[in-house]
Amino acid sequence: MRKTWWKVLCVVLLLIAIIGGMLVKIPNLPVLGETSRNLFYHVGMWAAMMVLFACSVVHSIKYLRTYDLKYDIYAKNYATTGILFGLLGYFTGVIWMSYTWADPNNPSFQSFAAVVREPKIIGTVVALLIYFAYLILRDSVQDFDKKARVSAVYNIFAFAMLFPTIWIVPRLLPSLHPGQDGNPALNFKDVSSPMRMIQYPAFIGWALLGVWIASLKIRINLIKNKDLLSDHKLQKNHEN
Amino acid sequence: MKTKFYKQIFAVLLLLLPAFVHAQAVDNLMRSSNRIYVVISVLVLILAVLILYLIRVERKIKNLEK
Repeated sequence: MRKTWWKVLCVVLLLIAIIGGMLVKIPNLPVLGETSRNLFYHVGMWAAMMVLFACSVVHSIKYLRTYDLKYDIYAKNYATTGILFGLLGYFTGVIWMSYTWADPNNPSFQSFAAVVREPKIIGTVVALLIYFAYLILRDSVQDFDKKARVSAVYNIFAFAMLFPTIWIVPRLLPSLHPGQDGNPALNFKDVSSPMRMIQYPAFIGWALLGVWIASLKIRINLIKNKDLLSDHKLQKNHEN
Repeated sequence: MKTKFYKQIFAVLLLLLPAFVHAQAVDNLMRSSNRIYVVISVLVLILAVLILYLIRVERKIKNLEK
């Protein structure tokens, strides 16, 4: 956590994402036009969210293997930062969608009714709600050990639910979202090669930014719960 | 003392800002290709301030950890 090179890398990659993303030549597609540049920012949020949720589930499994409360703090803060990036991805998607999918000739209620059937939107809402439930579940249990144990098990379930809700089900249904057959944005046929040169650095940069924010939150919470953590360790040593 | 020094530098930079802006107006780059560079400079400024903020928070946490 104390190493700085990856933070420098994060800033450099994000600079590439912003400067390159604005300057790169993009194919002028109908309806999309210049909005294709959102690939580096809107899809980058989802990339960061997936990385953070993956980190979260890894630490939940680590907690269940060791019962060390430290890993519970890690898992919780990775998940909350993941939710933050997920919400950003969702709302940037709302802006993008309003000017590409929604038909300007229809009244807004009708175009809302058409757009809201989009399986990708429903899928991501379900996925994010499952993660909100993770936070609610955590706060509803008083006992520290029980809270950590129950929420670690739930977190594994929530991560498993990500795959059907945002990867599998939207692909089985007709959709307006790009990347219908194959991985969205990762498909070689969808994205032109100059865009690809910006896309991967951008995704890695956003993911690193997410991990950076999460690491700060984790460190604050480790300080806050210092007494609890040391008590817990003493107790465990005593039991052994 | 140290923070005061930073504040003074910041104030001077803030006062000098219009001078930079004027220099950029003379420069051709900021007015080329539909002024996309103006957008880039806005985005870079936002990113820079956010990153500096993160670094500041990290320093504070580092002090607390000691």
